[in-house]
Amino acid sequence: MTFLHPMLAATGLACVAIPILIHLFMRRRRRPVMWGAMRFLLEAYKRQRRRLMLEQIVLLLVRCAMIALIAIALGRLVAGESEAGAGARTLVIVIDDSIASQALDAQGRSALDRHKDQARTLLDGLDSLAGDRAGLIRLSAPAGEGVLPPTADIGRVRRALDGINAADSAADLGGAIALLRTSAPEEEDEVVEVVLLSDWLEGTLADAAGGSAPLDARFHVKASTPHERGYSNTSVVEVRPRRSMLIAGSTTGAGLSGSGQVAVRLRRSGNDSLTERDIPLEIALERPQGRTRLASTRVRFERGQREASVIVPFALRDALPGSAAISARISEPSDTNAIAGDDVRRRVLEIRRALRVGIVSDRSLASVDLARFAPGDWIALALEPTGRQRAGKQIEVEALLPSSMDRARLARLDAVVVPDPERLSEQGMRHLAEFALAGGLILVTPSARAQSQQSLAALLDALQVDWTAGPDPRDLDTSGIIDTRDATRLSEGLLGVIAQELERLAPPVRVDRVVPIEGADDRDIVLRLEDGTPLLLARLERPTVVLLATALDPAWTTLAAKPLMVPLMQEIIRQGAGQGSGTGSVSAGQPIDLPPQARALAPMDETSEPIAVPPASQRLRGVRRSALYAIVEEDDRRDHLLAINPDANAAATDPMAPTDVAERLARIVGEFTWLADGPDDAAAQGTIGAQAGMSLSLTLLVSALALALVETALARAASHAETGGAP
Amino acid sequence: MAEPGATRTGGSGVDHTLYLHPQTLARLGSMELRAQQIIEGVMAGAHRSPRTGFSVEFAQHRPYAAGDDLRHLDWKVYARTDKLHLKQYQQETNLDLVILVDASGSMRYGSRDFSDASGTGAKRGPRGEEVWTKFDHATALAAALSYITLRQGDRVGVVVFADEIKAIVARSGQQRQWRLIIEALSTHPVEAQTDIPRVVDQILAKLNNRCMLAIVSDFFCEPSDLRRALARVRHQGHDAICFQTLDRAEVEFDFREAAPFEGLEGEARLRIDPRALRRGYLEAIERHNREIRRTVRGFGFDLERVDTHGWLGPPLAAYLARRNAQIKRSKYG
Repeated sequence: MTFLHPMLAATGLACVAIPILIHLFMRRRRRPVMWGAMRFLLEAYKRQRRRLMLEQIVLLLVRCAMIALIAIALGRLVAGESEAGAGARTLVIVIDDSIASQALDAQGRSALDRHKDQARTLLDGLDSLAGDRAGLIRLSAPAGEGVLPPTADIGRVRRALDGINAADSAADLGGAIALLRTSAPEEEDEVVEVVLLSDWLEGTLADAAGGSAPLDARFHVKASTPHERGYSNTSVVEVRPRRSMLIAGSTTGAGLSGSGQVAVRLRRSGNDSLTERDIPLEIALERPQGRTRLASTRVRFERGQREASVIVPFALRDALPGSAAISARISEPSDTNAIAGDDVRRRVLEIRRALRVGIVSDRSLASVDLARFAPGDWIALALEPTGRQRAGKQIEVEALLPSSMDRARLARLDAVVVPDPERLSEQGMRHLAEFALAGGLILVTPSARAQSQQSLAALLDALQVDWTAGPDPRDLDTSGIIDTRDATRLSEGLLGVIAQELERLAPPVRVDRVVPIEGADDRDIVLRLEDGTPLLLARLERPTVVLLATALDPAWTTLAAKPLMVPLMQEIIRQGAGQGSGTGSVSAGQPIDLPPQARALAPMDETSEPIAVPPASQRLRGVRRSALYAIVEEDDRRDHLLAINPDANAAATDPMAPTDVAERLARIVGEFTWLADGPDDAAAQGTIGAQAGMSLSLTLLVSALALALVETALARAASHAETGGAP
Repeated sequence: MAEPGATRTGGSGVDHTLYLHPQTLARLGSMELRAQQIIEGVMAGAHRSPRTGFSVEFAQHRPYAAGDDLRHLDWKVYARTDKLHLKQYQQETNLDLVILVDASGSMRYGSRDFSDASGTGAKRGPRGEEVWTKFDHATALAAALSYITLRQGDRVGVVVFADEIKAIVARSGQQRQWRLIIEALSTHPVEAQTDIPRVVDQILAKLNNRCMLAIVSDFFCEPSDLRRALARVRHQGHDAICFQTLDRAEVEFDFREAAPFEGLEGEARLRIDPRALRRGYLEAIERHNREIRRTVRGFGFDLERVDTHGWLGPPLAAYLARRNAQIKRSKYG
């Protein structure tokens, strides 16, 4: 037996003293009546004293009981094990506003709207006057931004609830649980009611993992039941331009022109995946100046097919150099596409007239005859195969004297090739490290003339990569051949564009000497020799570093003189420079590392306020809303863009079996119970305690009314209401 | 005799008209107080004497017996019937009225405004009280009885008593007698308890002729005490009229709110809810009054209840009318 409104009940019970106080007050106030016929009064009193005292006691008890019953009724006494627990209730609502909550049902009502209604009903069962408190946690990653710790200002929670819009990020159940722990009651016997409101679709729990310990017994967790049918939905799960940097190379009128390709992957979920369907798709270029449609196509899904990919060629005309985003959008709404937020996906790329590459060399490049070519000369030749003087080149190469390699010089370049680390001074290495951290690409090869590769190791150390170069080159017993057997891996890496050509171009290349590289992650290794020796390693995050483990010298390898040399160098520079250009794409809700000069993220559609970057760190916990953002720098420059995309995995709308949901939830939150038998009844079921309290209150009020009648009858029987004459 | 309104104050400074309201006087104008029993007066008056003889008023015939005075033979009857009968006559005597007024503490109670009941509209009584007490009403009744008695040429005296005789105004037929009575009553303290047998004993010892006793009291005494007192009155051959003076609040007891009640004769304070005790109280006082009535009438005396909230005239006049009618019935037939 507990009270939903204990303060009210306590106040009411205190009112039981009112009849007693009135009695005492009246006793003090009355002046005595000087009475002549006292003997008859005494006679009557002596005869009726016991009865009168009994009547008075009974009347007093009845009146006090009447007030007590009303007080208890107002305090809403709840019988049995109530959710309210003892005393005031503390309720924390964890509402699923992840991308899955955007799903619209047949009536056009979103899952989030249903969750909100359920939450409002739950809040209706609270009473701040009785000490009840409520909290709110948004489940979308990064979890939080609700009302915590729980507050007695229920109106504030309602306002926060009203202000929630569905995010484009995944559900962050782990984050929500971590937040809940921060609101754990101090007293062991206090209870926090936690209600998880979600449809529990496949995407909702896709990334959920029970990493930390479940909630302890102070949290009484209830979860809404899983959605039975799920929704039909189509998501754009990947947009991948074949090159991350679009180099037009020539100008037409005001802007650049060129062509490119973009790979788009779509995924279907829900019941509609069983049918055949054509999905219209539009490719566009988005940038601060506006949106330009580049191409359109239709993606064919066969019966039962859940994923489909398409490569869409496009032509670029009159584009200005700079940062832009290529987007793929499902162009027509459909009844079988429940979530709108995942219909578009963007990828940021750079549009450049040409790439500027500096090759560290102590003389001008290719200024000698072919017989005296140094590695840098081979690289320059590979990057400018058509000659250095030709106009409209897409890669411009310049010699970078080690003595003149300062910050200003490097700032003009997109990539720096270091064919001979021996020529670098310590200061030069520091400048290169800064350059790489700022987004520049470093391509480094061992020094062909030095027996010891100490300088290579020092450079790698300065560049803060995990690879360790062996001090001495290793001569291979037999000439090494580049391994091209893992075509899939090749197609996804740095050399994806030329992956097919590699099968034909790589075999003629022989490698006789390499610098052994250790500490490289398997993902970093782009090319291996057939014996597994790493040959080409790439780190495509800042600092962007590509390491060729062999020197471009005939004593080391025949690569420089083989046809593979040109596409390999071109591709390393084109893809590598694009990767490290400082722009990119992330999923909504994921942490974002921004360049040091970034101060805020401003959405390009200007539908929301800019997001400030914390000054202490260049890391954002995550942004819920997918959009194309401009990275605002200190001087309000907005040269770079960031595409925050919807979390496609979280948009999977397939229903989950309740047992599966229960198993996953139990791993994360620990013991819990379902809120209701059906999602539609969840709101009503959520107030079971309150309703039980109400029914008990009615019973108590009826009892109080009955007592009032008893009191009236008793008072009349005791002649208190008698007005007639003498008997 | 001087009219009450002619002289308002006596030597004591008491306004005598306080206790004789004009309405009372108007009702009492033609009334006479007659003793129900035959009173042996010391003056010839309007009242029958127990001594039947040869006076003015014929009473009856009786057969002649040897030795009778032949002067009283009725010769006309002898002529018609040839039988000897004697004529007998009744002797008329004066009425001595002794008014016994209870001045015990319980008579100090009153719930009526003094200004409402007094003859002059004064707000306070001679004792400074703003309420018209039962004693005030008894005083007014005594004044009315005195007025009637003196106007008939009879003598009237007053005894103020409580647990003993507190004051006596000797019987007199003088015109200023009623003023002396009012002065004696209006200035006398009202306190102590009642001891009627003792008081009656004391009074009877002072009476040397048969009188009419008018006892004005609330009779909040033991009925057995009253019985003992009236038995002596009866035994001495006196007539008696009992006026039970009660306040309306004592009869109805319609108090609404709880309050402490404190007795006027030294009883303990009692904190009660009057509505809760009303029925029991009314039963007790009614039972007592019944017993008092039975006791009084058991001796052949009259008991008249007088309400302090009513005018004194109507009930007194009604009583006198009933009494005169009763006398006539007993006289003529």
